[in-house]
Amino acid sequence: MIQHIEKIIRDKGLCGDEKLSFLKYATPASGRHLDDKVLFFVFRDTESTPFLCIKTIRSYYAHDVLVHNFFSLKKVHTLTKCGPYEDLFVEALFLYDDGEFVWSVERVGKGKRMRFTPAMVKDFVSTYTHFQKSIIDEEKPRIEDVCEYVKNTIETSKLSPKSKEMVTHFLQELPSLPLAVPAIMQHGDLSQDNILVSQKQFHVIDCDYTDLIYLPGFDIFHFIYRHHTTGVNTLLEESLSHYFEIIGVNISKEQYKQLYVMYYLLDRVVRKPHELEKQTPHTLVLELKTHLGI
Amino acid sequence: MMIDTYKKKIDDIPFFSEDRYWGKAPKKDLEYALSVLENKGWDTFLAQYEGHFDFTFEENRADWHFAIPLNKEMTVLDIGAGMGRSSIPLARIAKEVYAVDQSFLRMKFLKYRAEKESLENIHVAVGDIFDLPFLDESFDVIVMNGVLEWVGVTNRFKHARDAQLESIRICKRLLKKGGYLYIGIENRYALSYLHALDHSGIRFTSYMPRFVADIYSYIRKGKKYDTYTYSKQGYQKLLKQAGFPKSTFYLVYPGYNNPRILIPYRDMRTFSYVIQKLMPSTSLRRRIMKRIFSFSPLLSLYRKVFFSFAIFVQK
Repeated sequence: MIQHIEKIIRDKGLCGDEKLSFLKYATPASGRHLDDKVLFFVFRDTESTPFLCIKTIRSYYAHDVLVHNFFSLKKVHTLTKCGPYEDLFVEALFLYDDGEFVWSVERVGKGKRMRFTPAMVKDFVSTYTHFQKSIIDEEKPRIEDVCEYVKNTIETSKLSPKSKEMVTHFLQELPSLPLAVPAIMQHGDLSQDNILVSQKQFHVIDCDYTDLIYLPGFDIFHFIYRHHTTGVNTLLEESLSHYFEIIGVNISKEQYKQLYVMYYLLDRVVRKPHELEKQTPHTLVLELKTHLGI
Repeated sequence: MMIDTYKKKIDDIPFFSEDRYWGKAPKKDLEYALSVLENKGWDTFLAQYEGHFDFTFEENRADWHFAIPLNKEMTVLDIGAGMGRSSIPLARIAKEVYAVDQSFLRMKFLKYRAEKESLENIHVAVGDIFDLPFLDESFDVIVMNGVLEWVGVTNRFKHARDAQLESIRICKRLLKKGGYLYIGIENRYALSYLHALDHSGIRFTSYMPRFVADIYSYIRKGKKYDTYTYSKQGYQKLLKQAGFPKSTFYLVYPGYNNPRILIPYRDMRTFSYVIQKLMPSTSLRRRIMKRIFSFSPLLSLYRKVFFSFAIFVQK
């Protein structure tokens, strides 16, 4: 496959005549599912860091994952082009799809994965909050009722009818959340593992779930929630109240708690539907109580 | 393609050689596990035996194939296919996969596995590399993953190296012109052999000169040393002698059985990038390792004692 990729990227003018080296890389978890990605870092003959990243999958059966990833990245890049957040996401350059093989070419994200210090967490949350403000699409209709938005997302998700019914029923039992918020595109899988750091600059990678969720605060919630065990509620409260203030939304304390439930459910529906499939109404309530303390 | 000269057929699996079981678990364990699979189905089987045998449902064990052209027009031969770690993912890409192994039980498991995945393009047979039932120039790709080191364990040749040489020559004969042979194998001088057993079941034998390893093996095990591995230069020499003058080497991390990272051997920059940027630095040992290997002479030395290789030759 490498030979084929090399020929195409040369034909497309993505590199010159220089000798190229391809380094194949997959995360330890890649391979459990057919839609897991495989990466190739492409090195120029004279450079010690790669200049292109090729993404592909092991079976064409799962090609839609890669296509979605590519076009989401394109969309984010269009939204941030020429602005202060242009470098927050890498640039998607080219998609190859011949019905048997599919792969995309991106520029390589600068920096490396790091364990975030509390100061870095605050710094990143602040950067990401202002980035979110910058991509509010005034043309896009606002979300008038968060509960309804989540129900609609469940309805169009890949969940089985049985699980859809279970989660929808669960939502109906909750008090309504008539909160009007702007629709803002979320990364969908924001965690420290998906952020590269270089000279205090952040670069977000892995856009598999980007453009699937438009509920503001979702990314900030999961970024903090996944990596903090102590003081998570205080940090969440501080970060989200600042976030909503910046994007111009007033929220009460009670509404925050409801929002947390919505964020948690949305994550399960969009990113981990297989886990929801194993749940019963009872275990779902237990899980929410255990994880969110609500 | 496959010559119908089989000695017998059991459960629709042709035998071209005697059944010879191998594996980390005793034969009777796999026999019983297969009866569980047949009578109670996959869910019960997996609940009882996940991790017990060397099968996997992960799709990443044949990731080395990205280094060569492989497509829906191609026919693959997987020699020593075992429980299908390579055959299953390869069958999703190739036209046909012929899986051969000396163990009937392993082939039986692979047959069930292919049926479960609805992969009708996998054909299994019990066979030895020296009795392969195929016409010359039948395959676009031949796989020898974790096989070459065991080829010398045979009575057909006096020296293990001669058996290995002949097995590669057989592969060359079976390859179509332009076809690829892939060999996944350990480095004779792998650092990891300081704390792990060699294939002989004894420590340090791969590091020893062959005649010393022979004597040592006779003393410890009562048999000659016949599970040869080599250095990069050793493999190159062997392949050249078998008719493949040019070979391409990759370092494989964590090992050829799970080729998560494929590093072009010739390219020290990519190796350095892997060590410094892609390998986890969670433990103190790793952090020290990163610091040490930031010096290129030491990195070059590390490459010589890296655990395993993915080797490709083209006919």
